Formats: sequence, structure tokens, C-alpha cells
Amino acid sequence: MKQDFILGKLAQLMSWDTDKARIEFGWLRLMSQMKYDGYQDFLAGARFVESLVDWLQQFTDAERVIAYDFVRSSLVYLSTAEMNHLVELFYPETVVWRLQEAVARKLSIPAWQVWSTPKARALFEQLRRQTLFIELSDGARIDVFRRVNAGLISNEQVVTSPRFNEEKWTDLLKDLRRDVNDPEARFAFVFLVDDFVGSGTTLLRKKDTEWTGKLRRFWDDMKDHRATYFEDDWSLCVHHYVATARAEQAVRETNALASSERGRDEWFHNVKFSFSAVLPPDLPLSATAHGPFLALTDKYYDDSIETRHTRVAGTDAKLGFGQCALPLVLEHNTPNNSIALLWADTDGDNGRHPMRPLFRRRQRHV
Amino acid sequence: MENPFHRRATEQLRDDEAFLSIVSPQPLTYFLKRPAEQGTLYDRLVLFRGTPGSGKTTLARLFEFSALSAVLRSTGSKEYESVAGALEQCGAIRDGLPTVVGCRLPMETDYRDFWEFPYSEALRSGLLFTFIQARALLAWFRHLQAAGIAESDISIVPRSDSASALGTIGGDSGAAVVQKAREVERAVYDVVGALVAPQESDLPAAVTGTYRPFDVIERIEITSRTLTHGKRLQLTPLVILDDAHWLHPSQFEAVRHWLARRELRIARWVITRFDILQPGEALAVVAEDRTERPSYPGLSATRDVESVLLQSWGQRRVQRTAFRRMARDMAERYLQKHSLLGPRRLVDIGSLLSEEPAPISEAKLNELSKQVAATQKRLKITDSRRIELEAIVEASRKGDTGISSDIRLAMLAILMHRYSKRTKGQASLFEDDPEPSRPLVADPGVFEAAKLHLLHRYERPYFFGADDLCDASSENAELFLRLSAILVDTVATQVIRSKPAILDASTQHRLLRERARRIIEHWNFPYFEKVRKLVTTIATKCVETSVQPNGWLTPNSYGVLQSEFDSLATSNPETARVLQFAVAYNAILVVPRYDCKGKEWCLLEMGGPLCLAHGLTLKRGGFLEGSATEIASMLEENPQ
Repeated sequence: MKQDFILGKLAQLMSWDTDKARIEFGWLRLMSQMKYDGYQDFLAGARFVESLVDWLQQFTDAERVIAYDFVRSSLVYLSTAEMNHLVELFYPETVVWRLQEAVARKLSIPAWQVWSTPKARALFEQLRRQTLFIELSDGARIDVFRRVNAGLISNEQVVTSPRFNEEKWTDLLKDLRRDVNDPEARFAFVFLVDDFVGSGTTLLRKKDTEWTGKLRRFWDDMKDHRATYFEDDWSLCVHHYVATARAEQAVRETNALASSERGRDEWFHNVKFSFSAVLPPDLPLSATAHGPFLALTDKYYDDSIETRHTRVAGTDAKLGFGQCALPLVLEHNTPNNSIALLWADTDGDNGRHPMRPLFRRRQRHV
Repeated sequence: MENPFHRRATEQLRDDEAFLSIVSPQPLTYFLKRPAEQGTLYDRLVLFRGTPGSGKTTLARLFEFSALSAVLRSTGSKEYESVAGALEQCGAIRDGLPTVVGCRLPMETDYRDFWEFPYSEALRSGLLFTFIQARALLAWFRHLQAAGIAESDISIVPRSDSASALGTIGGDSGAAVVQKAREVERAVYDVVGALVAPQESDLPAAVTGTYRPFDVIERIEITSRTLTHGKRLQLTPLVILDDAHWLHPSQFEAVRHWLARRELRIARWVITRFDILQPGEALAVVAEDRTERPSYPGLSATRDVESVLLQSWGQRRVQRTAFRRMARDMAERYLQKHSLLGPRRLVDIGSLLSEEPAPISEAKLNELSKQVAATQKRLKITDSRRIELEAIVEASRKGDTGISSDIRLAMLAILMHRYSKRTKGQASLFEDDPEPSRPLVADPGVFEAAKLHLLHRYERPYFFGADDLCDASSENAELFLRLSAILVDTVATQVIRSKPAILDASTQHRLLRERARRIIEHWNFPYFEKVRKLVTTIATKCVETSVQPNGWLTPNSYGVLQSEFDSLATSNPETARVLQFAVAYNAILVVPRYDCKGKEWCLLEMGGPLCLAHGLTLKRGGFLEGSATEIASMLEENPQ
């Protein structure tokens, strides 16, 4: 569809006069080109502006102004370039520092002296090779991570699936021992990498009396091989490129609880969390700042989007999974922690309002 | 939808074809045709000076060999035809072949760094000259090779008295000359790029040795199957030092002195803003007496230096007409590139901007009518006199062009005040309708004053139409594009909304004033705060005068005696410095040697954005009489 045509329709839909239309067209063109049109679920001919018109049509005239104002002033969109930048920061800002600290500890020297002696530098390089990078989901962009760190991180250190069999573990260890020329070598660090954490529930939560989540699954997969594959004082590092302020706190607290409840033999000894970017605490929509828009999320809600997965963390999904109320869109998918009005797509078969998405979400859990 | 008007600087167009498709040839012929005919364009130093956006770099880029060859490649193309014609008139093309090989060296890169070295001034200048020469040579060869001419088909033709010096530049073959230039550039660059400057005694021979290709080269000879059809062709090398104001003032002086030497055979142009000049020199440049040679726009020549001023010059009316022509031509080229308006053939800026005035509302008209009646009563003007004055207003109609009711009433009010002034003291007990001391006429001045009165009292649209847009641009291409951009955006928005592709007067007026205010708010050049203070004071005084009831003057300038202006740099250097930057950045236009009331004045004319923002006339000539002392007091923190 020609963008100029659809902009005309938008001006009509929003009842903009020429001045307002000129200003908004300029903003829409800029933001579409720089960011929104890159959303991976958009199709050629039906990108952001088309999607916006379709989304706004479900509201009344007065509500459209509220909804558009939300897009204009509250929506947070992380583009491919921005996400890739966070991926690029991961190694120099997080991995290097973790390894540098470990070298300093082992040699009893200050961290800043690590680069000044050949012995420390050699140990740093050995520890780097003794590090595994495992992606927790396909949003972890491990391909980008590999490319930007070519020459530093070998392909044999990167695992593109969170769960793998014993044969794979054996191969990884064999490659490590060959590379460091030490038949006794084991891994010293494991980095579990993911793109986004909104509530922390998917990572680790207690269901009835049982701990579950990605961390628990990883524990189950490796607990019997700990002595074989890992050094005695190995560290598990969990890194997310983006986190909410709530999740940053929650994952640390939940992990501490799991550790104390399960005991030393049933949980990781040394877990560290890190984040390339933590979203501000006042990002979630609130009744005081976003009252009119939250009223829309209430009015235009179809509970058919709820599944057993969404019910895990809350009563309904109006404000997104875990009631996170995020106005957030990531270029490859909209997190389910974002408000449902942004991403939900329903038929209205149950007599409820058929929800139209602005940034359609690809469901990972069906 | 992309609006090319937002892309103002031609540097942003990297591709020659894209650049050529939007460039207007008008300034080329206007500024350079005459000096080219006189033979002064390529045989001596040509110093171009202008404000930002006056088209300096555009001119320079047209003479780069890559642009010339792009024009020649597209012979027959309608799009480039006018540019090719202009380049031929400027002597850069003859019989379909190039005559010059031009290269542009932007001085904003590392040339100033030489000034920071702990060396003697002679050595610092020597390093700079060597660097410029090496880079110019490499640039000439790069352009020629980009045009498909092999290095082996390029050779150097030395000056007849410099054949023995050929060895110092590597010889006469293209490959050898390029090899030598690369060595020298590399060696000098190693010095420039060093974290710590090497000791003078450690400088390599490649840097300190004799390397003066500008002194040796007379022509560059080429053979090209595509360009010259296999014939040998001799080209005049042209080096263009662009944005020379980036150099340190001492470097600039040294470069000027170096390139002004008469024995050089290469063509050399230096392009700069006014910033680099000393205040006295900068003001002297713009106040120079050019009245003697109106046929040489912006041009003054000495035996060694040709000076081209890319702004206010020559006869003002001619200048304004020329700029209007150029601006419309430029706008057409830009509109053709507009993704929405171009394909719809909406490419004439004049047809997009309505010239239909927008009178005040009926309610306001009634209010005005009552005010005029009250004025009549207060000034004790008889009904019969009023009828007479109305007839004078009516008689000012020219042809079929009618005067709207609001203007007619405003003109009548002005004439009533003038009548009252001219009959003061004449009324007596026996005569209640005396004749004025001088006859009253409703001339264009009254018409203009009436429009300004309505603007300031009722915000009646005053700035509209393509001519006003051009006139408000202060003969500056970039300013024209900046003002046009918002109008073009709005036309495009209307088209998208299925509305007519034409802006009414009130929309144009409002948008132009908004844009002008933004431009002034965003000023960010040396002394801009002082400049803003000065021009705001002057503009406010001009408005106060413009709205006087008898409309005796509609000024947009401030006049000081020419003699006072000439000595400003010595009598009040701080004021001169502020004025220099006001002129350099288009806040003020200097109109020198303006004869009025038997005196010679220098007018400080408010730039287009100031006229728009403050609501001053765009018509030229009206000025407030003042003095240099008053200007200085306007700049004081708390003037008494």
C-alpha cells in the first residue's frame, strides 16, 4: 500500500487539520523508517502506518486520540540496531569483567593489574576458553554475538539450544581439552543468555511446592555431570540484554530463595545475574499517568487470549503476562509482558471485542 | 514521501548526477560569466566570499572534474542542458570538451593542525603549502581516472621556465607525478597525525625538500577515447580551497599571499565565509563601492586577486530579480525530485503559493470602520473631505486590480492623519475644511503602510506568494530552501488529504513567520546573542515607526552615515565585530553608499527572517536614521 495514501486515511480517521497532519506525518515517516517498519512480523505493504490505522479503527473517535497519544509518547520500541548494540556490549562489558575478576582472585592481584602481566593475560585467555555460552531462547541472538566476537569466542563454546544431550556435553568438553591442551580441563563459566526478562517468572518460579523454569531445567540437565564438566568453583552467569526493573530484583530474590530452600547439593553454588540495559522503574503504565489508556485496555479485552501459560503469573492478561503493564515492543516480537492491547489478535468468536494488534505477537507458547 | 527541500547542503549529495539534477545554473552565469569573459577567472587568485548557504560549495562542486565529466557524459540530456550551457559561458567547457580539471579541497579537515606545531611560522606555512599541493595533485588525477582516463594517458606540461624543476615533482609522466605526490602526502600526513610533533631536525626530507608543483605545472595533458576521442587535450588545473575560514587567520593570510603570486599558471580559487576576516576588512568588503561597475555583480578586481562577493552586490532591484529567477528555478528542480509532488507535475513553486490576499473578517472590518469614523471625528475632518480622500484612495487602483475594503479603510485612515498634519494651524473660525499644505496622494507607500497597519492590528496575512518567499530569503539559497521546506511539506500534506495543492495567504503567512522565529531562536554563531539583541532593538524601532498613524515610513533598515561606518572598526571594534558576524550569518545585509537627503548612508537592512518574525516590510529603502554611537548603546547590557 502506498504510504501517502494510508497517511491520508489516517488523517481522516484522526480528524487532523493540515497543520497537525503535517507534523504527525513527519513524525510517522521518521519513526517508521528508523524503527517501526523493521518489526519482523510486518509484511511488505502492511507495515507500521497500515497497522496503526487498522489498530486505531477499533476505537471510537475520542478513544483514538488517547490511543494515538499513547503510541506517540509512551510506546518504547527497541530496534534491531539497538538490540544488536546491546549484544555487542555483552562481551566487553560483562564477560570480560567477570573473567577479569576471576583471574584477579586466583592470582591475588587487583583487577586492574590483570593486563599488566603475561601470566595473568594467559590465565584470562584460558578462562575465556573455559567459558560456555548457551542461549535460552531464539531471541538471544547468539548468531550476532558469535559474529561480533569472532576470533575471541570459538564456535565450540557457543550452544544454540538451552537443552542438549550428553553426547553434546562430551563433544564440548573434548573440544575444550584439545584447545587448551589439557586432558583434565573443565569449564569454569557458563553464561545463559536471553534477550528479555519482564517478570522473571519464566526463568525461575515456585509452582505449588516445586521449583520450575528455565534455570530449574538447566539444573536438571547438568546436575549429574557437574563433577565431570565443571571446575569445583565454576560460576553460572545469567545475562539478559534487556530487563525490567522489577525483574532485575525478582530474579535475584527468587534465586536466593531457591538456593536456601533446595540446599547446597540441589542448586547452583555461584549464580550471577547481569543485564545490558535495565528499563526504568516508572516504565510500566500506571493509573495515575496513563489512566485513560488503561481504561481502553480494560474495555477492549478479549479473555480468549488467556492460556494456561499466561495464567501462570496472574489472573488475566490485560496488562500482559505477570501484570507487568509494559508499553514495550522488541523488533523481533512483542513481549507477552506488554499490555495485551498492543499485541493481542482475536476473532471475537466468544462475543467479546475482537482485538486487533498494533504489533502482532508471535506466540511461543500455544 | 521525501522532501528534498530539507536536504539543504549540497555536500549531502554525494553522487554527481544527483547533485547536478538539483543545481541551478543561474548563479553560475550571474557571478562568473563576466570574469570568465574578461579572462580573470583562471589566471589569478579568485577569492569567493559569502554567508553560509550563499552557494559557495555548490559553485565549487560544479567545477570539480567529476561534475564536469558527468555533464559532458549526458550531452543532450535536457536536465543538464542548462548547467552545461552555464559552464560553457564560464569557460569551463569549450566545443563540448572540458578546459579545466578542477578539484575541491575542503579546508575543514586537517589543514589547520599545522598551525599548532611548535615550528617557525615559515616552516608551518611550508608544510601546509606542501600538503595542499600534494593533495591537489592526487585529487586531479583521481578525478581524471574516475572519468576513465588511464594514468598513462595523463602527463604534465611544465611552465616553459620550469622544465628543469620537473624532477622535483617526479617528472612529467602521470604515474611518476602521482607516485611522488603520494610519497609527499604520506610523509606530511605522518607529521600531522603524530601524537607528538617530531623535532624540526627530525623531519624527513620528503617533507622539508623542494616540492612546488603549483610553480611547475602549466597544464595537464590527457588523451581519452571517450572524452577527447583520442586527441590530446590540455586542461588548466584548478584548485579550489573550500571553507578556508577553518584555517587560522595567519594561515589564511599566508595562503592568500602564496596563491596571489602572478607567476602561478594554475587556476586557484579560495572560498570562505566572512568569519576569517578582520572586522574592518569584513565590513569594508561588504561596504565596498560597487556602484561604479554595476555590470560586474559582486566583483572587484585587483591585478593579483579577483574578488567575488556571493551576496548583496550591485543594483538592488536587479539583484532581487535575479535571485527570484534563480530561486524559482531551484525550487522547480527540487520539486521535480519530490516523491509526491514531482510525479504530479506540481513543480512550479508559484502555482503552489496563492497570491490572493486574505482580507480581515467581517467583524474586524466593522471594528476598523468604526475606528476610521472615530479618527475622522477626532481629527475634525468634514464628510466632504472624507469623500475626497476616499476618491484619492480609489484613484490609486491600477488597472483591474481592486483594493479590498480593509486596505481601503486603512489607507483612508493614513490619509486622514496626513491631512490633519498638513493642515495643522490652518483651521480658523472661518474655515473648517482647510486645504493641506501639500497635495495628498495614495502612493504605493501608503498602500504598503496600510497593509502593515492591518498586519500589526489584525494579523492580516502580509507575507505570501512566491515573490515574498524569495525576497524573505535575503538572496540566500539555503535560507530559501529552509523557508520553502515547511510550505512544501504543507502542500504535500494537503495533497495527501485530497485537498487542493495550493496554500492560501494566511497559511503561508503563519508558516513563514513560525519558521522565521525558529531560525532566529536557533541562531548559534559567534556573538549570536549580541547580534540578536542588536537586531531585536532595531526591528522593534522599525515596527514602532511602521505603525505610526500617518504611515510616513515603513522601515526595515537602520542607517548610519557612511563615513561613520567606514571608521567603525577603529572607533568601536566591539560593535564592528558584532556587525561582522551579523553580516556573516545573514542577520543583517549591508547596503553601502545609499544616497538620501544629500547624505551618504550605509544601511543595515534586517535579514529576511527578521522581517518575517517582526512583521517588517520586505520592500527596500526605508530606514531609520541613526549613528554608530546608538548602535553601540544598543549593545550595552543596560542602555540608558
